[in-house]
Amino acid sequence: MSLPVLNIGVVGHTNTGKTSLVRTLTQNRSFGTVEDRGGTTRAVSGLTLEADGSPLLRIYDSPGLENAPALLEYMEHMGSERHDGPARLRRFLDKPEARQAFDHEARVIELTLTIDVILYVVDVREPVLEKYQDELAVLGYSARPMIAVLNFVADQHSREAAWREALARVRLHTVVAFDARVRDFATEEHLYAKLRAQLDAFAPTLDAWLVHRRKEEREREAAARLTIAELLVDVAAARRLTLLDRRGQPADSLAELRDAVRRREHVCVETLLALYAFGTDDYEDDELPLENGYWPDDLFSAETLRRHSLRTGSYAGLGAGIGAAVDIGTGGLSLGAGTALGTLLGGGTGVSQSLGPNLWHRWRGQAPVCVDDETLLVLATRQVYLLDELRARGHGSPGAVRGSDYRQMPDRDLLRSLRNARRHPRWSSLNETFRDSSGRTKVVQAITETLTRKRQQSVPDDHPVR
Amino acid sequence: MTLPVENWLLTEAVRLAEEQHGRFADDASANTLARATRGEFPDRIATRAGALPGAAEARQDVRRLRRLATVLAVVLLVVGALAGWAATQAALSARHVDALLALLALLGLPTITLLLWLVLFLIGHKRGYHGRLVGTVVDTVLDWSAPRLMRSHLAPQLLQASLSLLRTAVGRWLLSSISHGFWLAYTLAALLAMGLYFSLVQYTLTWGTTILDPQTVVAVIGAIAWLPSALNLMPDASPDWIMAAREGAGAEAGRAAWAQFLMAAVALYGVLPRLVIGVLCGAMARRRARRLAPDCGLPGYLRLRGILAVTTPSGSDHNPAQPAPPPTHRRRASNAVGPPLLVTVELEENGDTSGVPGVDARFVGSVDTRAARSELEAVLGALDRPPPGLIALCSLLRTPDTGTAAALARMATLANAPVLFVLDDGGRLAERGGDVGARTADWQHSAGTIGAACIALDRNHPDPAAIASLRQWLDNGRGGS
Repeated sequence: MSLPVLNIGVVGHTNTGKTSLVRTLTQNRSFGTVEDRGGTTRAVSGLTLEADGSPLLRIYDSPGLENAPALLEYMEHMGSERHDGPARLRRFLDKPEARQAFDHEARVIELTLTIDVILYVVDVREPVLEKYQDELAVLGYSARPMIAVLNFVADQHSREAAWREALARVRLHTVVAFDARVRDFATEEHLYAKLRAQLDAFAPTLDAWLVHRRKEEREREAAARLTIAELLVDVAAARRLTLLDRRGQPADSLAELRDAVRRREHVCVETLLALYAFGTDDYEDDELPLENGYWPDDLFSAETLRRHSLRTGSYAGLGAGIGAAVDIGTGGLSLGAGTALGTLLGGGTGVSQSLGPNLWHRWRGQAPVCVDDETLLVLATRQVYLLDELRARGHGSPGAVRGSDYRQMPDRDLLRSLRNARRHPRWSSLNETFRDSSGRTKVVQAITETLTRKRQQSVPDDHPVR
Repeated sequence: MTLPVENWLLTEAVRLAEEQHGRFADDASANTLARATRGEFPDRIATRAGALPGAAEARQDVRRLRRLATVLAVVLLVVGALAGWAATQAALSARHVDALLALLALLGLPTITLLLWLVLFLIGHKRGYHGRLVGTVVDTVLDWSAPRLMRSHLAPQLLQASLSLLRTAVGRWLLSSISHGFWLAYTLAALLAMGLYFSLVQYTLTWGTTILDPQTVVAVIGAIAWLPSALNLMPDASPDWIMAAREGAGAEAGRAAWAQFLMAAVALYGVLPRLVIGVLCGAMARRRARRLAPDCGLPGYLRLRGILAVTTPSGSDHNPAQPAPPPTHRRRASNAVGPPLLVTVELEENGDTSGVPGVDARFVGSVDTRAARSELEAVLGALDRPPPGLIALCSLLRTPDTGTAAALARMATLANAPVLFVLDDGGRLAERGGDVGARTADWQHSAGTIGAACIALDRNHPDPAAIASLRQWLDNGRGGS
């Protein structure tokens, strides 16, 4: 049996953040146009939200109300249907001259007559003006259940208390604080709980939707961590051959490796943004530490490493330069103990396979260069930080859980997994020999689990590092 | 929620490519097409993948892969058949054939591999062990030949997707059916070869033992022959008949029956199980292939969810906004007298009405509430002579709206005076992080719609230039901004 579709209309005064709210609820960043000015949305448009193929909610965005005081007066003078609000609204819509004079308002009124519930969006930074109360009076004629959504409650200029009091005075007691910029799932759940309390007939629909949303949030988190884990494995296993000079230092530039890593990080950032319904062009107003969807500080700079003050005990002591290490594990310094043992036992096919080419390269004065531990950790830290930022945006209050503690990131398990990945050049999509395998999947899985554990252990940090 | 194999491969390849190299830059038309697809999310992502630039070449590659897989399967069948024939030839190379030894040579290997497959299937079905042996062969062949065969820019990802397909349930059933197909070809070829050799060559078929009790051998042969004789594929295998064929017994009359015994045993214990299991595996692979769905929880798919969501425009779009009437040009009346009048517009609650710096204006009221507007209308209507100007003190913290503009226009008409919007609170808007320039432009536009002038003047930090232009406006009394 299919559940009834709940039609939700998002209405309010011009420039209160209606489209932002619709975007947050639908997780669709490309929906409509959002600007800090009035009249950006000129027509009603809606999005259908489906769970497992069946439509459950339809959310409509509407143009802002701009002239409710005059409209209310007009309708009061229209006479007729004293106690039948919807009939009055229909009569208003039937008058072409009224439609012309109150263009935006007519569209909104038309919408309110076709939906099941109204979300009235309030910018709580605004004083409680009479025109807003007029809007509530006009919307009240529709006889639809209404929930006031207080936007910008996290702002320091918020007048939330005054608004709650004013709304109570017009008998609007169902009020929910929902900062459209906050991607906090608990707030969203709270909003749906309020809707459910108002709409008995749609309780099964809203229950189904909440179940779907919870699943979606879990999926999204898992996907985000998987994205980071894949990045880390790709970068850890990445290697390039370089000529070594007499002191064992790389003679040629490592620019190619660095560029590949930077590009790969960029892809990861782009994916994380997309997973949390942000576009790379939409970050500025969202206070993300990104420029053009990219980190302003270079991953391969002494400054970045210094700022993160990571000390891990470097992977390989040759010092190939910032961000890179000459791989001594499988060929840099020819026969290491493990290699020798593997050869002696004759069973180490992995070792002997990599030994041949490595010896050959070594003989030609070349050495494999990989990304060093510090850089890998900075990379991990940055992504985890971004993920945390994306998960709970806009909590303006100082002291809230924000970002992760850089100093916590050097993690033994993580490093172990990454060092394991480093021994398998075939695991990196940055190498030409890339081939996915069950071994790679296992390491990716292990890193994902480590990241999940980190997340669960994370404590509120008062000093988010930017 | 399911996709045909070809679409699945293409969709997976696109996902892998986008997870490694970022989203395709030129995917706008593909996204539009996907949104227009009336179907579930997997259908939309498949449509998108199929509509991306370069998808046609990738499809060609998928077809090449398919052909390669077919060729590989045929080659395996041929190799199996040749092996079966060769094994039979070896077993029947001498005219005097030891029946049990020949049976062991022909059925030993197929039976051992079948048992091995069964054990792996029963123990590790969930972990996907069955089909692994052939899987390794196919993996290696694909790994070597696919890069030489495929030409599209998605080739590496298509290979990766194909290898991962082999690790799914579909792939495992498919590989199992190929492996059963191999042994089916082997045993069938053996059967055929036996039929040929037994028809054209006269063999002496006996059995013998050195250390075993003959009765044990008789029992074993009896057990093997029970099913063929029960099915009337050979005469009844009585102990006497079996003993008669012992090496050195001298009875050679039963050679046709013994040939029947060998052929029936290969058919029943070699061909039949492979045929049944192979067909079952094939059917399972086919069934699973029909339920092949992308894992929509993977980052590469999940990120598309918002982009491919369906937008439904509502019907009210048919009623486009009417163009605003041209603004009336307001001028100072020739008989204007007295100080300019000051009207406040939605100032902060504690906003003072003390006036505008540099101007001596008379505060007459506000337009914030219906009562205040009525009061203001009364005051303006009662004026004997028009004022030189009406200053509307507005806050940049507010977003201008048509209602406020209309109210101010009404007041200006009543007072018969030009209007000047003085925009206060620029500093506070900047403090809030608002875009002062954009907001000022919005107010200028709003003033323009009612033929009013507009000046930004922060009363806390008055700009001398703004005061000068305010004075100039008062001196000239012209409308327009």
